[in-house]
Amino acid sequence: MDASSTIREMCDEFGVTARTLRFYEAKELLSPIRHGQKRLFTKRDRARLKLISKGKRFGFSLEEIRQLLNLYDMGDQQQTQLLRTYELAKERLRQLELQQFEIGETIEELKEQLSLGRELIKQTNLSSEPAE
Amino acid sequence: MSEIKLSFKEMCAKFDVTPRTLRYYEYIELLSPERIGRSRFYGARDCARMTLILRGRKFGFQLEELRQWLLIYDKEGTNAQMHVFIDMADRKLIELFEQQKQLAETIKELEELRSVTKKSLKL
Repeated sequence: MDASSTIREMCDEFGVTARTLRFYEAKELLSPIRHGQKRLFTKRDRARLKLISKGKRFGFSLEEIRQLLNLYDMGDQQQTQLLRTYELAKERLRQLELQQFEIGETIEELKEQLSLGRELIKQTNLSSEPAE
Repeated sequence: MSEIKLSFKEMCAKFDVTPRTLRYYEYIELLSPERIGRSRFYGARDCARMTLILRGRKFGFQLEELRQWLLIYDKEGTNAQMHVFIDMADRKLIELFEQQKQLAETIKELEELRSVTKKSLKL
């Protein structure tokens, strides 16, 4: 008897909605045992869900995660899975570093506009000083 | 009183935007070109607004936020508009700093993942 969990138990344990779990099932990331409308999630599903959350935090797409998870069963001591994870991490790092750079640039430009704006206000305040 | 107006095509070219963008901005009342039959003509006011809108977009402001901000100019003038801009920009800066912080965290975790997997692979 594999300790299986209901959808409710899964939601509580992992802090996700039932909708999310059903979505992951539709995307073939999880494959709970179905008894009519009822779903029973296995140990395997739980392990996969943990990895899915991790992958999402890294910004991997669900499809990337799905492919990554399926590499587990390759029978090569997860060498292919590791390699693909390494490649994805490298790729994602490059994207995030670029994003980081762009945010930095936006911040600089925004600061510039801010000081221009403040300067402008100061000047108009001076020139509209009541001439008594 | 003959202001030079730009055609739809000229406007697209000047600001490097698609026809769809231009029509959408009109639809949500960011721009109000003069309509003659099916043709649209854009004056200095629309051009000025367009410059401000695109700059605002680059900074990550929402279109609705920008629309309301542009209204301030019409109602209360440049100075009031500038004050509101400064408030908006200050808030946006805080948001961007927060984004930067979160990105830095994710980057750190990814670097860890990269080095762990690299090690396991004996690369």
